[in-house]
Formats: sequence, structure tokens, C-alpha cells
Amino acid sequence: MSFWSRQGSMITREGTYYLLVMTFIVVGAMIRNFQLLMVLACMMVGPLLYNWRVVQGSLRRLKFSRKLSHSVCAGDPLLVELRVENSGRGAVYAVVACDVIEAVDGPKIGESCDVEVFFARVRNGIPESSTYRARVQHRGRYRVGPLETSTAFPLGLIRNTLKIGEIDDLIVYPRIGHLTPAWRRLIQDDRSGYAASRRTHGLHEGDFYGLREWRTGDPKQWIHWRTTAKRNQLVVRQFEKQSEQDVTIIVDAWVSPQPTPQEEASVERIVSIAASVVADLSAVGGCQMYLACAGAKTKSLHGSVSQAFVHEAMTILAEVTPAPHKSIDGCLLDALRVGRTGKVVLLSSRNLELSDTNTFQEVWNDHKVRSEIGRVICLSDARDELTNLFVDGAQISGAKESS
Amino acid sequence: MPAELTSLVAELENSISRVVLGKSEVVRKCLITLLAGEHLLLEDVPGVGKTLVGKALARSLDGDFCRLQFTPDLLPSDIVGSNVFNTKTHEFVFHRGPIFANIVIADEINRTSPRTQSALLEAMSDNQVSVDGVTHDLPTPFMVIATQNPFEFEGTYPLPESQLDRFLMRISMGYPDRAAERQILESHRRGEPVTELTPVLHSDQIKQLQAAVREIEMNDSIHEYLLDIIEATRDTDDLQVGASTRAAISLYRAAQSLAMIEGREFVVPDDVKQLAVSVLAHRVIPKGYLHAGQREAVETIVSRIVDEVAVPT
Amino acid sequence: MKVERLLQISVAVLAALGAMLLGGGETDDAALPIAAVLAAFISVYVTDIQRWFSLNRNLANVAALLAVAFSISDFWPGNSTEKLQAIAKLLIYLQIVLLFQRKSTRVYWHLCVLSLLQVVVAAALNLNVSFGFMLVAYMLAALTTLSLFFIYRETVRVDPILKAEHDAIDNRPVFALFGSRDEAGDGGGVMTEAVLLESRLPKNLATVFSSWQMFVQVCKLGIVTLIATVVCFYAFPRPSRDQWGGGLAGGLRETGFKDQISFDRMGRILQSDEMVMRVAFRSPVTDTPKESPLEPYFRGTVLNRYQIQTSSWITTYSPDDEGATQLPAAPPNVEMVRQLVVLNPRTRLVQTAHGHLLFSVYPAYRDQLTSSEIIDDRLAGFLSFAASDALGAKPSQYNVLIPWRPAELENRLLALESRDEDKTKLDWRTKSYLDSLEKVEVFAFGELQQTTRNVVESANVDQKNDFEVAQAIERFFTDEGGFSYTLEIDPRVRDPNLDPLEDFLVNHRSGHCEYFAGAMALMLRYQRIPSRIVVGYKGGEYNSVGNYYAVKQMHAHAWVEAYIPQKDLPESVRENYPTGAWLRLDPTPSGETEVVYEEKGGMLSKALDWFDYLELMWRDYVVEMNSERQENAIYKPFADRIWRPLGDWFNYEEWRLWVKEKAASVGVDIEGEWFSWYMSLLTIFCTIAGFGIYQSSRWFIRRFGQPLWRWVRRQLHFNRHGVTFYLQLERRLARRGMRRAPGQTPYEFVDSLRARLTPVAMDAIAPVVEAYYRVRFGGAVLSEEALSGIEDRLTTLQVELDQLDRSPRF
Repeated sequence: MSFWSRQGSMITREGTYYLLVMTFIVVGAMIRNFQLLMVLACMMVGPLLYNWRVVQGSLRRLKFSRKLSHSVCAGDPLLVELRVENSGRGAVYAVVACDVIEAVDGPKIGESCDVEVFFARVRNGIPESSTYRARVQHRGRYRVGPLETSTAFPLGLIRNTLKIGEIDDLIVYPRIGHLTPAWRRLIQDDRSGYAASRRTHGLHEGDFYGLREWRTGDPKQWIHWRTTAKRNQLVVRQFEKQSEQDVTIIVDAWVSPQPTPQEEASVERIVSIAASVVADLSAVGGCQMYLACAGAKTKSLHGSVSQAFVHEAMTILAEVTPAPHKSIDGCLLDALRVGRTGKVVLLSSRNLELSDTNTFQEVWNDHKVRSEIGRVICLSDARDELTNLFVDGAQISGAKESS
Repeated sequence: MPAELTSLVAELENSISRVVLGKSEVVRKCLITLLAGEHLLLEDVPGVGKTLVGKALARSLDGDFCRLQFTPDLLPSDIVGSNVFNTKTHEFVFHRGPIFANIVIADEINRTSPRTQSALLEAMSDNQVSVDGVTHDLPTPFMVIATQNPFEFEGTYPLPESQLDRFLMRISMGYPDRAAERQILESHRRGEPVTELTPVLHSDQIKQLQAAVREIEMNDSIHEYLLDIIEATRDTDDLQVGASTRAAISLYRAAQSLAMIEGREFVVPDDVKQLAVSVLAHRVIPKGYLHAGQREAVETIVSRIVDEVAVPT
Repeated sequence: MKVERLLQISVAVLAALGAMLLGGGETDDAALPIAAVLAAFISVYVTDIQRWFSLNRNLANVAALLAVAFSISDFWPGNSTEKLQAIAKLLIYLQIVLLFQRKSTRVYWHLCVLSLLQVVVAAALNLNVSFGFMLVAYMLAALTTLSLFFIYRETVRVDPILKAEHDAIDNRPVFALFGSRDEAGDGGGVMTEAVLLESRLPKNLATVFSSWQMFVQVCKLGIVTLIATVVCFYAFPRPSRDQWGGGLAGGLRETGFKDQISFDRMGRILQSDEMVMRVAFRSPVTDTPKESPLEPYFRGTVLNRYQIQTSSWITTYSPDDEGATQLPAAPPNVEMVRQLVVLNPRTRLVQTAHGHLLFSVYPAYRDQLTSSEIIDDRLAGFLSFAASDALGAKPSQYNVLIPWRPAELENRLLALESRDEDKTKLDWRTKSYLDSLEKVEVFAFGELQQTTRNVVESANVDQKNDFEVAQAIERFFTDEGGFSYTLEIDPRVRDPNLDPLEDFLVNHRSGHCEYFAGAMALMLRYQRIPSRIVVGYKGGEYNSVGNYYAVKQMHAHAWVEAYIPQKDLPESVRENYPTGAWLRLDPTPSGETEVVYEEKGGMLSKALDWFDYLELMWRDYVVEMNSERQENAIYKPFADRIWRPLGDWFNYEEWRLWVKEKAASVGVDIEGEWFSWYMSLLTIFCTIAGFGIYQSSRWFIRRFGQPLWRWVRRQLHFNRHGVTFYLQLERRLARRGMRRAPGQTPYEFVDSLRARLTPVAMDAIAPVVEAYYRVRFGGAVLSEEALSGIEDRLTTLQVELDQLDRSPRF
């Protein structure tokens, strides 16, 4: 987009033409010994010099800073504010700041986009700010910057470009969708008995903690009728030490060496599901979660779901890069060892079977873990097992817009 | 500066050195602290003569001397004193604590509770104590020589950085070399040599000396040099927190004292450079959390920084 | 106001100015520039503001093609001037076409370039100072336009909505004849890109760029541009000595001076206001201006024969090689004045046998400043500038010495010089020349002869005295004959059967100077007095600002010279003219040029004087800037004032020689022509090189400036504190590879040397360092003895160090 990617003062394309015309006139004047043309040619020198001088001095005294939130969900608008201060004497005019957003981690590594922000005038001592709107469609870790500022004021013949090494990080969380009740049933299926046994305890399950929406298996006594009436939706009281929500999520971001768009879409879907689960649990709070992602890199996170955990987990999910990896085996092994309670959900983009002893060699060979394998639910997008568990975030927003 | 004062300093140094063998460096820094009117923190394993230094200094001066053994159950009032109700006169009488002395040796300062520590440190920074709203001035000169064993962790309350700032210098004793150790054995044949010391300086003379220190000149270029060093500690990537302004002042004063001890009327860059590590190392916080080796690491960092700063010529 | 609107207005102004500049040179067709100016302003309203009408791109192309075709028909048949005018017209047509298009960046660029081309063409057509003024105005408009255009381009680039609008203009449908208000296409609804970034223009854009600060910026830019223009223009060496031939400018108008007089043309002769030359009189000694009390007669050529068949006075003069020589040196005891003539470049000089005819007060003498190419034909009495043919170099200015003769009579007399050895006798060549001037056709001009006789008889004079007779005839014309001066010759009152001169003299007695002179010369000849007609200029408008006469074509004049032998001359001057003299007779009744002198002192005339002076300056220092003038008027004074004081080292001449030698050594011969093509190229090269050096030195300073400056400061420091001895010490040690690290204090440094130096050397160093400390930080001042002690120690150290070198190393 900007053809003057070089730093420092450079003649612009317009300036080159200008210089050519000037040379043409000078040569004409010299050949015909024609002084008025010479006057004209000499007249063309001044603007060039002035432009050069102005451009030289103006940028160095500018100080730019960028303000943006650290993280945003994919597809959500993000406002980035650029602020510039002038420490020089005079005002600086027509400064263009070119900002770049480049994906450094995630599914679209290397993709970048730039935007130019125009500052009409930056006066001495009066900071100017301008915002630009960014909408990032894909999750991942993005690098914002470095900012490249340039000015060619007043004539645009010579442009001075200065790279300002202000680099910010932006984590774009995966799109968060909507988990259907079927998902919850799946997670809690085995617990119905446990929950049922709880029911006998009546109201003495523990300390009152807060309110949450009703889920299958919640005893009727827990329902908080007043709030339910208010919200027109079943709301139950929540008590501490509820461990029924403990869950382990393993994301298997696998693509074949020559990935097809379908495979990529599968990965995005399972990452989105995992992110939705995290977001969902953060609303509930107070439960343990183990999250593991197997992709180009393998990362895992274990802890009780808190704000910090959500951020960490989302970052990990944002940075999952799909790859034809072989680490799912080890991932599952670790998950079974660490995540002691709750369901283990293995979300895979490929057609993966738990019974595949070849892939899950280590798991099957470890006798301690082998007994835990019953907790694992393997869901494969390739087998289309996710459609009734999850509604895509894009679909939701699309539905919203259409209504 | 009157020559007799210089000679007095030399005499004092000699006196202490007679007892504290093979530790001329420590003795000198001790004197610097005294002349600067500040306080000293000695750090090392037990038994290398931390207390001895304090004792020797106290004995060589004609002033009150007190030694406080800090224990976990020591209360602030045990140090600064308390108001006691006199049943005869029916009024409260202030009983001065042991801190009302010219030289206070606070042994194992990190063993006592933070509350007691801060009582001492308050006294150190203000040269006064307040009990029940009444302020009592401490005698001048007033110097605290605190010792602590940095290798003990169980049951200690390490001094926070903000309080370490109150000490001009933190120095470690180190083991004496073989020859000195032999000498020590010799000298201890007939009992403690410290008891044989006689005062060489009067506390008024100390005050005079302290005043004289402030008159020591410092060239502009050395000002710049000093500030360069301070700034370098703030700029470096290795330190999380650089030296404070108080650190700069302390370094300034310490350099003046050293010049005084060496009998000069002006500060030279060597003064600043020599003292920079001792004065600054305990006031900066390194990046990362370096447990045991922290002390050495910080000293290395600071001394490297100091070496990198260009000396004025 | 929006930036784009401002830009549109500014472009229109620029277009209008360009057209006006063209109009300034193209006097015969003012309609087109006016149309262009109107079009410019109408287009702003109609096309840009209201958007009622705009030319579609294809339609515009067709229109442009039509304009080109139309202009080509003008272009082919004409001469160079007409061709230029055809181009000028074409440019204006194209401009109008462009103005009525919806403006996009492309159209703006086209308009700018067209406008510049217009100025280029105008520069060839218009040489007056008015062009200069217009150019300044044009420059301001151009700078404003360029600035606004720049802002416009930047905003279009940055703002996606503006960009979409702009692209929509550029890609309008091909077959829509007239563009209506077209909606801005918002094609950007569906975004499929991975990352979408969108920025908006700042809200203060319009206010910022239409504020007075912008105006100040443009003014600053304008001032810088003007200064740069002046500096560049005068500093840039010209490749040649030639003046611009003026080949492109319009030809000489058919009025004013001609080298022959014919009377067969009737009708009105226009009084041309065109400048011929500017003549200043200055004292050769003090160089102060001198104003002649008498109107100067600037002599051009001399006509000696009347052709009855064509009724014209012509020169039938065979060149006299002996008589045509360089100007003579000024005679000793005559007061001289320098006559400086600056010719208008458009004046076409007449050819003589010797070259170009020059105008001057006669006689003329030379001194060291006079060009040696001026040839004086002394027999006929005219000056020429030696040139092989009509295309030869034309002088732009010349100066000669002329005798200062405020006295009326002396002013009118021109000595006839004999080439004989006896200066009191006429040689045969002169005699035969005089004889040829007496020749008349005895049978022609009966009535003229009769009139002449009547005049002489009726005048109460000695008929044998040529002087008196001549004066009587002159009086007849000026006073007694009832002649009137007119430029309008009504053909209806003329008698076609009579010779025009006879008709003039006998019948209507009204005409212009040529008639008077022609008639009088004939009359004198019939009285056997040798006479000839001199054509030239009489007087001129005296410019009190520049102290010169502005001689215009309307000052063209013809007068008569009659030969008076010595015996007939008045006694008071008789001795000075041993062989007789030419007497200048001006038969034309006065009253034609006096008008000029009447208005002197008025504000208007003063302003006009100024304007004319500016015109002269413009011509001298802009239009006719050549290498010679550049050297004389700019480089020399500059060199004298600035370079000379710098002494021999920076001697201009030496440099010149040096450059020449260097150039010769690489095979480039700069010849005598100092300002040759090579120099021009060299200047360009030097400029580029200078720029490169500037840039690299900037880089260098940024890269190394800080350490360098620190080093310099350190050196100064040492000197300031009087501790150079320590510096010396460090230097000596450094020479032996012992360098102090910047973080080392001197003590530490010396300490570190202990292992490498002998104890003697260490003993020598220690006190030096100590002294250094005392001086540097303790503020002590070392006594003489201490200093000498240090000296001693340093020598000791040196000895030790030297030994270190000599001692065997292990």
C-alpha cells in the first residue's frame, strides 16, 4: 500500500515527476539559452527544498502512543486510539500514521493488514488523537505495529518516513458460540445419579454462593423463585463446593499436511466450542478445569476457573495453530493424570476414535490411566458429532442481524 | 579543615583496627557511616566479628553505647522506652529505652517482629522517638550498627527494601584471611582485646567532624558522575527498581566522608566509585527472583554498572 | 470550506492565471485567454459546486482530439511564433475541456501540467517585466494549489469513503454523455477480509487547512521559493555567451526606424511604443550619470541618394575599407562622456557593409571598456558592430565615449576629418564623396528648385555662404514655410503625378520628419551644398529613476547634414574645423516629442519611470542573462567582496586554474570558456554531490556526532582546567597501548599499570596523577615550579617508556 517503505526522507513519485519536468525545463532553457525558462526552472527548486526542509524537521519531535484493549473476540469491533504529541516549537501538519496488524500466532500466521490514520495538525503541547476501527475475523495473537509515520507536507514532493517501534500485542479470542442443552447433558450425563443423591440433602449442600441458570438435574429446591419470575427463566441458587462442573477439554487441532478449507473450518469450530465452554464456566465459576491444546505446539492449563484463568485459556485457544501433529496421545495422558475429576472431552477436527490404540498408544499402555479412559468423551467434527451440541457464533450474530 | 580533626580520624581508625584485625575495609566503611551521620547494616554469618566492630567503635568513642539483642518477643517499648506511672508523684515518667545512646548495636535485627524493627528504623531516620505523643530527642551523634544473618530464613523477618534504605551501607564482613585469623587468635590469648580500648574521640568532636564532612567540596563533574551512576541503575535492564534520590544523597555524603577520612578537602571520582556498590546494592531490586544468590548477584550488577559509567576526567 | 472545494477554486485560479500569462504575450488575440478565464470560474460553479454539467471522460477525450485537430491547422503554415501561438491556443482548449470534467486526481494532475506548459509557452512569447509580476502571482497560486492538492491526495488515500467516491469519478460509465449527480457507491458492505481496518479523517481537517496558518505556510513557501529562484538563477552558470536570439518572439513591427526612406506609402503611420534601447550618459571618471541639456541625436545610418523612380532615399555607399576602422581613441583635451546603450533584444538591427548598425551620438571614441568589434565608418559617419552576416552575434549593449558638448553650435557641428597627411586639405576620397552628395537631377523637381530659389532669395543672407543658406532653408521649414507635422498622410490630397517630396514641399506642406529631411536635403543639393540624410533617434524619454533615455520606436527621426567648408563657418569655431564640418540641420518643426518632458514630476510619470526601469532590469538581468553578464555582474563582485578577503588561499583565479588543470588532466578541455557546458554539468553534479555529502554527514553526525562531540568537549575540558599535562600522560601511555577505560578512574588506571611499568616510571606517574586530581577536582592551581616538576616527571616517564621499547621482550 505504501510504496515508500523506506525510512528517512525520500522523494515521492510525484516528486520524481516534478524533478523530471524541472530537468526538462532546465535542459530546454540551456539549449535555447532561454533565460525565462531558466527562471521558471529555478522557481521549481524552491518548493522542493522547502518541502524537504519541512519534512526533515517535523517528524522527529512527534511522540506517538497507541491505546487499545489487550484482547477482543474475533469479529467484534475494536477501537484503536492513536495519540500524538508534539514537543517541537511549531505545529506539524498532515501527518499520516500507518499502523499494521499482523498475525503472529493462530491459524493465519503472517497475514497482515495496514491502515493509515491522518492527523491534520499537531500543535505544540496539544495532544491530538485519532481512532481507527479494527475488526479481526480470526482468532490468534496479533502484533499491532510498528507504527510508521510519514509526512510530505506541504507539497508531497518529498516524504519523510519514520518507523516508531511501538508494538502492542492483541489477543483475538476465538468466536464464542452458544452451547446447547445437549452439551450440558453430555457433560453431566453420569452425574444425574450424583445429583439425585444430592437432592436428599435438601437445602444443606453448602454455603450459598450465587445464582445461576437452571440445568438438568438441579433439584427443585434450589430454584430461586423470585429471580426466576423476574428473569422469566429458571434460576437456581448455587452453593459452594459444587464440583459437578469440573471438566477437561482437549482440543485436537489436526489438519492434514495440505489442509483443506473444510479441515480448517473444523479446527475453528472445535476451538470455538472450547472457548464457549471456558466462557460458560467462567459464568458459573468455582470449578476446576483442565484445558489442553494439541496443535503445532502443545499447551495445557489447569486451574480453577477465574478471570485470570479465562484469559489464559482464551489466549491458549487463540494461539492454537492447526498442524498435522502427533501429540494428542501425550496430551490425553497428561489430561487424565492431572484432571482427576469430571468429564474429559476430546474435541477433534479429524476422525479420531478412542479405541485407536495406535494413536493412543501411551494412554492404553499406562495401566493407571487406562482405567480412567471411561471418562473420556471423544467428539469429532469430521464425524459431525458437534452440530447439535453447539451453535456457531457467526450464526448467532447472523441471526441477530437478520432479525 | 583543621588538621587535628584529620589526625583524630586517623587515630580512631587505628584504634578500631587494633581490635578488628584484617578488616580495614569494614572499619573504614564504619567510619564513613559515622562521619556521614548515618547507620550501618552488617551482614554475615555469625562469628565473624560483626558485633566486635560495633563494640570497638563504641569503645573508641567517648559516648554511650548500648547493645540490643533482637529476639522475636522484643517489643518496641523495650527499645525506645515507656511511660511508667510513678505512684509517688502520681504522674507518668518516661523511662528511656536502651536506644538513647550514641552507638546502638542492634544484633540480629531480622529476628524481631516488623513492629519492633520499624520502631528502631523510625528512630534511625528521625533521630527521635515518640512515646505516647511525646517526642524525645535522641543523643547526637547517634549511630545504629545493625547486624543480621542473611542465611537464616526460618523464624526471621527480612527487612523490607524501603527500610533497608535507612542504612547508608550494607556491608558483609567476610572471613578474615589466614594471617589475620592467626593474629586474632594471638590477641585473644589474654581475653577480649576490645575491653582494652580507650576512647580517642569525644562526641563533640564527632559532631565537629560530621559538620566538617558537609564542607567537603565536590566538583560539578563528580556531581554529574554520581548522577550518571544513579541514572544508569534506573536505565539498566537487569534491575527492576533503580536507586532512589535518597540513595543519591547517601552516596554523596558517603563520598564526602571518605574524602575526609583520606584527608582530602575534595571528593574524587574514586570515592564515589569505591562506595557505589556498598551504598547502592541494598537499595535496588533486581529483575527476577533470585533467592539465595541475590545479594551477590545485585552487587555484581551494580559494580558492573558502575564500571560502565564513564569517569569524569 | 472543504479542502476539495478550495482545491477546485485554486485550480481554477491557476488555470486562469496560466491563460492570462499566455494572453500577455499573445496580444493579437485576447479573446481566447479571456474565454479561458471565464471558463475557469464558470466550471467551478457549474461542474464542481452545483454539478449541473460535467463532461464524461470519453466526451472529453473527443473534445480534446477536436481541439488538437483544430490547432494543427493553425500550426503547420505558421512561422515559429505562430506555431507557438497555436500551441498556446491548444493548451487553452485542452484546459477548458479538462475544467469541465469531474475532477479526480488524474484530472488535477493534467490541469497542473497543462498550466505549467502554458507558462513555459508564455515565457517564450512574453519577455516583458509584466511576465515577471504575473509569474510571482502564478507561483503563489501554484504553491497554494500544490499544497491543497497534496492534502486532497492524502485524504483520498486515507479515507475509504472518499477513496470510493474518487474512484467512482474515475471509473464512470463510458457511454453516459453527461454526468448527472452520481451517487457515491458504497460497495464495501460485505467484508470478507481477515482483518478489516478503517480509519476516518479528523474532523478538524477542513478548518485546519483553510485557516490563516495555512496561508502563512504558503507565504513562507513563496518567500523561500522566491529566494531560491533568485539564488539559483544567478548562481547557475550559463553555458554560453550568446544572448537568446529572440527567434521565437514576434518580429519587428513595421514602424519606426528603417534604413531607407520611401515616400510611396501612404496612410497612417502608427507611433510605436516599442522600446528600442536605453541610453545612459555617465562620466567616464566618476561613473555618475549625466543628463544632456540638449536632446541627443542618436545616429543610425546615413542616406546619400534619392531614387526618383521609387521616390526613396537610400544608401548607395560602397564600403570604404580605409575609412572603416576601429573607433579612434579620445582626443586629449576634450571632455568626454560615456554613452551606455542597452538594446532591446527584440530590436532588429539593420545590416551595414560592416555588420550590424549601431545607434550612437556621433562622433564616438573608444576607451578600454569599449568593445573592439565596433567599427566606425568615418566617411559616412555611422557605427557598426562587426559581424560576418545577419545571423552573427548581436550586441546586447555597448558603450562608447562621446564628446560632451553642451554648446548648441558645437553640438550641431561634426568635424570632417581628412585622411590626407596635411590635415588642412581634403583627400580625394572625401572629396569624391562630397561630390556625390551634390549630385542632382537637374531636370527634375522644377517646382522644388523654384521654391528653393525663392526661399534663398527671400532670406536675407549671403548666398555664397553655405552656412547661412543652410540655416535659412532650415528656418523655412521650421518657422516660415507654414509646415505642419503629421503622421497621417492622406492619400486623397496627394498629387500622384508629382514626386511625393515635391508634392509635400509645394502643395500641402504637412508630413513627418522623413518628408522634411528628404525635401531639405534635395533643396540643399540644388543649392550645391553637399547634404545627406541621417536616420536615427532623437531624444527619448528620460527616466529619472535609472537616469537613462528610454528610446522608443516613436522617437525615430530623420535629419539632414550639410557640409560647410571652413570659410563659411562662423568665426568663433572656424579654427577647430580646418577642413570644414558637417552641420546638423533639423527641418522638422518641433512639438512632437516635447510632450514627454512636460509631465515630469507627476506621480504617474514617476511610476511609469519605475516600471520602465524595472523593465530594463528585467531585461538586463533576467531575459538576457548570459555567461558574460553573469560573470561581470554577479560572480566578479561576489568574488571581489567575499573571496578576496579570504586571501590567496581561496583565490578565485587559482581555483579556476586548478579546476582547469584538473579537468585537462582527465581529458576534459575547459578552454577559455570558463562557463561552458562542462561547468553547467559540473554545477549540477556538484549540487547533487553536495546534497549527498549533506545527507551522509547528517547520518554521520547522528551516528558518531555524540561521541565526537564528547571527545571535543573533553579536549576543551582539559584545556579549561589546565590539566593538559594529564592528557599528555594519557596520550603517551596510550601510544604504548595502555589506555584508560572510560569507567576507570585515573588512580585505578595507574594501579592497573603497576605490572607493566618499571617502579621508576610508576614513581614518575603517581605525583602527576595526584596533581591532576588536585587541580581537576580540588580546584587547586599549580605553581610554575609544580608544573615544571611535572614536566620533568613526564620526561622521566618518556625515557622509561622508550626503554620499555628497547628492552628485550620475553
